Amino acid sequence: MRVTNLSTHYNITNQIRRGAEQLFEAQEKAATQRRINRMSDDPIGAGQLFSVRAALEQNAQFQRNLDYATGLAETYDSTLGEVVDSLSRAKELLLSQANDISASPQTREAARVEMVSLLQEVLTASNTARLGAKFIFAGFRDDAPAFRGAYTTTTADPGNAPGGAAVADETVFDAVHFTGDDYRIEFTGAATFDIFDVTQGRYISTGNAYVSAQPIRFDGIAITLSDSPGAPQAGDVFHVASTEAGEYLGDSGEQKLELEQGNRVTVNMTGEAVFQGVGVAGGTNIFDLLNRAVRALRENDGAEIQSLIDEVDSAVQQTANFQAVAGTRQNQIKAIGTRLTDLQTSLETLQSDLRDVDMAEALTTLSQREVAYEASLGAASRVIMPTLLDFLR
Amino acid sequence: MSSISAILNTARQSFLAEQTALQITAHNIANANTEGYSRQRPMFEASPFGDGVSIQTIERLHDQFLDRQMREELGAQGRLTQMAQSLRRIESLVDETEGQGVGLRLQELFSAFQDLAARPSGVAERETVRAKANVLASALNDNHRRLVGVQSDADRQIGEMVATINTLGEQIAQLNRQAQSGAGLLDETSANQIQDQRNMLVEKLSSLIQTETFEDGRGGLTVMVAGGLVLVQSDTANRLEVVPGDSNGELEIDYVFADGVRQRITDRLRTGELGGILEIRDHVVPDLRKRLDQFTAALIHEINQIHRSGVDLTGAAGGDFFDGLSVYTAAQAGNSGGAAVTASSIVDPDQLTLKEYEIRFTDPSTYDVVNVTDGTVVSSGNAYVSGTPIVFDGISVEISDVGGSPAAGDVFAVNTFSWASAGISVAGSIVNSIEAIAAGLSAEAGDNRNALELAALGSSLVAPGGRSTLGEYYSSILTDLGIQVNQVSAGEDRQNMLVDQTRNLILNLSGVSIDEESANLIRFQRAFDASARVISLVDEMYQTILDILP
Repeated sequence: MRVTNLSTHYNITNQIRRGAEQLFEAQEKAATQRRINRMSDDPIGAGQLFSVRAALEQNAQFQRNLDYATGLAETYDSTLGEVVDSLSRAKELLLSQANDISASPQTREAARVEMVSLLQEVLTASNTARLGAKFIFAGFRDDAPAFRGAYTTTTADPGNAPGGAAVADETVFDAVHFTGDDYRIEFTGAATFDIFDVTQGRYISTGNAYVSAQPIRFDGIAITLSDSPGAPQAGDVFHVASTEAGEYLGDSGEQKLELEQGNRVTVNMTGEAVFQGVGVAGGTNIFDLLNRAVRALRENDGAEIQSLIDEVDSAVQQTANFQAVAGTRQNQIKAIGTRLTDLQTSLETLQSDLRDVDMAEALTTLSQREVAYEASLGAASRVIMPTLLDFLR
Repeated sequence: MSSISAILNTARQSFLAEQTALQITAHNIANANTEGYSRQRPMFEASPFGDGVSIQTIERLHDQFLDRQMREELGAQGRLTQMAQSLRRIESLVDETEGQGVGLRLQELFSAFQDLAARPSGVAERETVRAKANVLASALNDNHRRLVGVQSDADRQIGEMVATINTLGEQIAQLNRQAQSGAGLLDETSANQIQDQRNMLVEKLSSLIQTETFEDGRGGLTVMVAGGLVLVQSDTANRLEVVPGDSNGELEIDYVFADGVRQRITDRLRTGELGGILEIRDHVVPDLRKRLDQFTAALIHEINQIHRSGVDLTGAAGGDFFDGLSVYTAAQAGNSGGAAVTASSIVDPDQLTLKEYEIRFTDPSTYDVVNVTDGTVVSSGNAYVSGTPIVFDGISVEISDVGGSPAAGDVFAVNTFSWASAGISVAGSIVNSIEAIAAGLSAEAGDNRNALELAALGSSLVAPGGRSTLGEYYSSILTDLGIQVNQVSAGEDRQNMLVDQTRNLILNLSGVSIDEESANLIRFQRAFDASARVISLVDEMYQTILDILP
């Protein structure tokens, strides 16, 4: 075949260009330490890499969920432990006060005061909140407390003369003296009233002086009436209905979180189940129980006190069971956590296999191609040199 | 009968012939590096009368058949080079190897839904969901915009290519004029040069568009493009023109006959750079856009369905999470009737299938509705009334006799995914207030049941085809693009080698080898010397004769 100047030139430049292309490719891989710098370097591998990356992101998210669920389970565990302690102390009190011989109205009164504080402890525990304002026993209604403390509802009797006083405010300010009885405030004149305890059927106080907007205090309750639009008249009656502590404000919502792919775990407990025994076989309403204990101690009723002891046992068992559930959840979560960690490791390994270049191999290829490139340059220089003209003299 | 003057004549002829041969050799050497130059060779012919030599022709060493082969290879090379370039550019526009892009944003949105499930009423969590949704929608909008940009750039390139084609045509016509008007007057070297130049122009033309040529017997070259349309005949050049297209504003290419009649040739252009850029603009990018739109439409549809079944923080039923689904209709190019689509809308989002439909008219008052993707008939034999909405699978389309009634065989294409990538955006109600995000099935602050479903969507097999997750489907679009890039690049490399090989074959015949020409120099110069020697010998002979006289 004839070798012409132009064809020699084209061939040499093509070879050098190809050598340079290959060299550049090897340099890029060695410098970035990546096998895949654009999709076309390895389309299938790139696709797998995208999947692995998405899986890693998902795994990290599951681990965040896991941390959250763990914290929640730990909170349930410790809170319920406190409740068990309170209930155990309540049982001790009841045991010591059950016997009419060894107990006296004075000891029972002292026990009653302590029982009220135990009730408050349980109430506080039931309204535990995490992260500022997430009440853990309220089901889906977790932006508000799960249980309500003692409160009163005061209403004007429909038979009151129109244009008289109205209820401005009412609170239970002293749980110890709160009785849970219903009352009537009876106005004997525009500025005097009697207080009648409906439940016990007797007057607590009579002839009290009424001042508009000043709280009327009795049995731990403070009720404020004000002359708006006008003053009360003789014969006006205000009914005071008491509700004891333990009214449930939450709902039955079951909160789940996805902790690994396809695995949704319930992470909450509702107050109505834990503290009211709803949905529990032979369940006990703990607040109701404690309120009755307070009442029995106040009424000096030894038989009643005795009968409550077994119920307290049930309450303790119920709470301990839920505490165990929290413990089981923690174990379950830990097991999932181990699986997630293992998955993380294998995903990272896979990602590295797909994406990273074997440095030894890359550097070897690079130096091979450098040598090849230099060889092609050297060969080119040898071809170009002599012509016939050099020999014609 | 010989005479001294005859010898002188012979020597003189040889002298001139060798001189001319030297000139030709010098011309070859001078053009050793000229692209497209075909070396020339003096054809010595001995005088039949025994009195010398003459150069009858100056042969131009060139093979027409190799030319034809070269043009084919150049056409294929032009197409592949253009396609490879465009595909590599498209790849870089949507590449996610570095970690950015739609795939990651999608996963981040699902992670945000998971965080929302942990704290459904949290302000930070809700704002994150909205922000991630925005980022995802923007990424999809960007993809769309960039691909449309590639198509607009293609239009610009088409304009430039057509202008170049027209210029080349005119240049060839001019050379034809020179060749024809100068026939018989030009010396052969000039005629050879015109042929070389013309060949170069035709090669450039072949890279751009399919080209065939034949000599017209009068020194001119007739050039035909795109399968038989005459671009140059003798000294006149016809033109190609770019015109805005009817349906979507994209450029079409017309061939203009001498009498002004036009023929649309866009679909006939398959090879050359023009063929390559048209394939990118009219097939590769639209296919990619269609798959991306199908992905986006599925994303919008699936998330919206779950979101609509939930309740937001204000207690209202959840609305759409993403906006962007709309009905796209197109009349088929061959429709002969005068009816057109006058209105279309989505009437029941829950019934959408996101498949491709066609409304086919079997006669001016009857139509069928066909699900083209599945190959099933939705309804057939429906009575057509102009202006009455045609409702099927959640879509409503209104066709009216705008310019006349429809004709049998008219087809209208309908789907709900086209342009989804352009239109996707976070729903207005959520942009206005994060409380509109429906995380639960009730309005309670801790109700996270809907958020759980939204988060689980990332692992559900809801992508078009029903066999992959949304993220996997998007990855597969990119993988297919990467494979396409590789295939075309490999084709480009192979074709480049074919062109190089053909070029070598051409140079093998037509190229100048300086060594060869140097050897020729010596050969002709020796003969030149010898002829000069003969002349001086004749001179001595004359002198001898003259010396005989006293």
